[in-house]
Amino acid sequence: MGKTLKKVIIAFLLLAIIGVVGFFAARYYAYHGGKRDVQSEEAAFTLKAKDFVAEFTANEASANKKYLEKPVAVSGAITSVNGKEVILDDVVVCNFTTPDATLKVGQTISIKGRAVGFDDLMGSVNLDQCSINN
Amino acid sequence: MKKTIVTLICLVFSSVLFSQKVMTRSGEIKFDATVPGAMDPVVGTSNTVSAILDKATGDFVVQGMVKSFKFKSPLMEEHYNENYMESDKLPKTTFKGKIVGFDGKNGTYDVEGDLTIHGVTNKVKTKVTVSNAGGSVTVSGTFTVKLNDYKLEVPAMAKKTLAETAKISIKLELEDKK
Repeated sequence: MGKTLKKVIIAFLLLAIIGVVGFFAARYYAYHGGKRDVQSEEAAFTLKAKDFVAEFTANEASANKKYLEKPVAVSGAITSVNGKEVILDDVVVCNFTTPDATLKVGQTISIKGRAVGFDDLMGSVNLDQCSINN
Repeated sequence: MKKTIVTLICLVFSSVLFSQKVMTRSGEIKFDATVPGAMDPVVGTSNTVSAILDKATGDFVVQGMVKSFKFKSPLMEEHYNENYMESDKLPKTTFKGKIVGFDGKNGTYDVEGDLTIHGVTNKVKTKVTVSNAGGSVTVSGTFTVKLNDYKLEVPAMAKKTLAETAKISIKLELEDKK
């Protein structure tokens, strides 16, 4: 076998490998990439739990338009801690990605999360991807 | 006369005792609209579904936040929110109805009511399984939903990845109102 032929074959093999790896990398990126990180975002609104919910009870559609999807920092007293779910002033339900053992009922705190919507069964506004806002 | 009063008191008390509501805000709904044999599963799960069941009447309400459904792929989650469910405008999915003949016992019951998805309400009927354990009532079931019935059209381009019928599984562990 000639030396040049060998080189050509190796070059083709390398190209094929790069192609396959590239294809899967692109697919992986398309599938898993672009995940949002609410924690690193600046809060678009900072307000008290009661005031936040009052806006939804007064006019849900306009509050939806104003807040949904945005990072909101809400402050209040913790009234319940149940795993990943922390409730402020009985009315704002914050869902953390991982449970935070340092949070205790009675503590006053500011929590930042993505506004998900108004739950009229419970009369609460839900946030997810929550983190403690410092 | 005395008898009537006693009966009345008993009735009032029993209605108070039995108008017990059980609730949750951490129920699970999972939907699967994967085309059989497709490469990517189209599965969304929410673990923050709220529900209230009136044990006396069988009245049953379930509410899920559209945005609380999580997908493995952020891109798929974005498409689901923006192109299909329009969750900025229509952030909720609700069911309002009744567990027919609910008597608190373990077993399978019919459920009837109005299901609202993507702003469209349809009358639905399905079955759920009720089981009691340690003071909580678990309601679970599986049913299918035709996307078309809720103005969720699957474009020709997406037909290979998104099924036109979604399988929905629901699991709610309801406890006494705290």
